[in-house]
Amino acid sequence: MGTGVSLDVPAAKDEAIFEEVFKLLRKIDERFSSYKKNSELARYQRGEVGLSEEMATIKKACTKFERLTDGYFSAYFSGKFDPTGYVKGWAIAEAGKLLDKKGIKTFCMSIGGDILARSDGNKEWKIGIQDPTDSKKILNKLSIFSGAVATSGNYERGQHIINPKTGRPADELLSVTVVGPDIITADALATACFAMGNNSIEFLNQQKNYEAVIVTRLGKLLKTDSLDLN
Amino acid sequence: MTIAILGGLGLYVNKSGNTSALLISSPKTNTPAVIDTNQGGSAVSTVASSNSSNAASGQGYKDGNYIGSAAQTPYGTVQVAAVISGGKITDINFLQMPNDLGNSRAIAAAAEPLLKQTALQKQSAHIDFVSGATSDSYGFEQSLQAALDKAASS
Repeated sequence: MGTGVSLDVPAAKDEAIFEEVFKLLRKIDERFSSYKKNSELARYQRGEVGLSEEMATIKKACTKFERLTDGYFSAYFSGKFDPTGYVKGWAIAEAGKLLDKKGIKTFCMSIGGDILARSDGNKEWKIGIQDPTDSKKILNKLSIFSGAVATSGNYERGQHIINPKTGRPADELLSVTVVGPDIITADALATACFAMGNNSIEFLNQQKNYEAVIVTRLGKLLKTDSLDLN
Repeated sequence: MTIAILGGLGLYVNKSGNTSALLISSPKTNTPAVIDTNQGGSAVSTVASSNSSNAASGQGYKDGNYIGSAAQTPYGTVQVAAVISGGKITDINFLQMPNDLGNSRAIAAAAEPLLKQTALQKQSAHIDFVSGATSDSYGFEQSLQAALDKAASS
């Protein structure tokens, strides 16, 4: 997956559970990486294989988010289907399901800055929101027991999120951080809202159960009405 | 216990309590080499279990500059140094990273900031995790994969 993965399982006494989770993530990466020449995704893009059940599910979900965000979230790049952005959130969700299945009630996991947290109520996870202009600084903190945090941004070496309406890189915002119950939704919303730009706060205020913090190009911090920051 | 991993080549940073250990694992043989950056820089072991390094957790680190042992990994030699200040790790320096393969250099280049950042940010007061987009580095991923492809075909 190339990006950093971090997993905290406070109750774990050895590496076994981590190995299982990383094994799952590696499998997902092998299938859906757009950088591996023989991944299932690459083969699908070249027309060498058809839609597998999982790929079809992913495609369907991408279409759903495309509609929800009026096209600001899109899994099509230069005419090619590339759900890599969606897959990141989906991978964390799958890892979360594995941890749930193993009976792990308290954990926190991060893949490329997207976070999934679960708590049995004893541990409150403190999540720092990174300053998009200085990776060593934290802008603000939020506390969650169970939920998801996803951040989207165009950083120096980072992925370029294109505004599908203009065809040019989205540049009104420095970052969008979405907090809510589901990581896949949070991730898709963060990506879409980054592309949406300044109008995204209005859109986000309409999304039930999802809150957000936005840093504009001028460094201004905006947040949705119901978000509590420490 | 927290473990972080960078990329398919399995660079693990294992944190438990206040202890940091660096595990480099070859995907082919899956034999990890452990470098313990605990105070004093202890000997390298090639055992998968790193629980022995947790024995010191609970004690603070002693301020100073500590050089870890040089670890032999299938990709080359790895050696880190940790700077302890105020009882915490304030910097990690990579004295030696595998560079006999082109792809190793790319991995090292990617690993350094992530590992440093992970180690330093974990010590930020009261922060468990950081949400941000800096770990998204498609450009890096692409060049890393290209390097890996080159290495695989050479």
